Amino acid sequence: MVIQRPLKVCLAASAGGHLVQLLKLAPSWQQQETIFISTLSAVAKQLGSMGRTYIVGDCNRQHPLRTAAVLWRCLQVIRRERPDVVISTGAAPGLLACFWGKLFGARVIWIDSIANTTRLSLSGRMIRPWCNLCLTQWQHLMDEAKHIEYQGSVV
Amino acid sequence: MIFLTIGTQEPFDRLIRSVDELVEEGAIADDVVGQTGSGYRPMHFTSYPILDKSEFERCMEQSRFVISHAGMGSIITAVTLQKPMLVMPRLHKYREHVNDHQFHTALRFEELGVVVTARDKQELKEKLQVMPYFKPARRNCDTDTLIRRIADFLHEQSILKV
Repeated sequence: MVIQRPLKVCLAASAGGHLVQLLKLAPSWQQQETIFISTLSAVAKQLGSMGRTYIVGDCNRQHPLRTAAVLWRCLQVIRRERPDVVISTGAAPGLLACFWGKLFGARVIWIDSIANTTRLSLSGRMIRPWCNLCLTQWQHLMDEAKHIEYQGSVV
Repeated sequence: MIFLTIGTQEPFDRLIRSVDELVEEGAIADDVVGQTGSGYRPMHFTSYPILDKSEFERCMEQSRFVISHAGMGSIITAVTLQKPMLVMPRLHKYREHVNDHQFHTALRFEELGVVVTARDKQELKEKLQVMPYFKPARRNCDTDTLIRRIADFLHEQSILKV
């Protein structure tokens, strides 16, 4: 017998362009339960109307201490929520959410930001081997051997 | 009115200062409204540190054209509203971003006819002349196919969860 139940989907994106891109894809998960991980409290209200929202702060590779703090906060969220799927458009905080999601048994979808026009982002390249679905938004960056798909873009 | 935005993250004083000086010099005659963060405070036009989503969209909608960093949030909003946009990419050498991806984004979207690009104040001044005549190209980008791919993946997972 085929039983279908809504998935718990964790949507992770930095405030700004990454989040704008992710929300353009919202019809994809309209039948699922959603929670959000983002970086600035300015977006908490907007996201809060669509699901429980966790603000983990921003970080990047140039700030190792901040990255450690965000890594820790992402762990708390993923351990508490146990999502079935983590979907991210980046940047570093999205990568960290995907990383913990994977370790806790979630499927991971990485949608590389359309801002990366010459190669996959560093975060994308790091998470790609762990991904269940890895999408670029530029046709010239698709790579069958590496399972990087192109299916269209948000703009 | 011209709307200026540097996005939501790091400072981008080089762009704000350039626009401020161009207004002072009379090279920009329009009113300017800016979302300029907490760095350099412009003296010759109205600016706000940050606008919420609806105010941001309203400003962009009311503008004749947009001057912006080459960030995707701003570019996507301008494309959606069919607004002409002049972008100045953040450059790594000035520590305006972690790398030079904004430069490549700007060039790629310029090739596609979606934006006009300026690298510094001088180019900004020159390219301002073409903005009244610039009509952004429409993008044909298959967003529906991308949405379908993700939705199908999720659907498969929800069935496998028996």
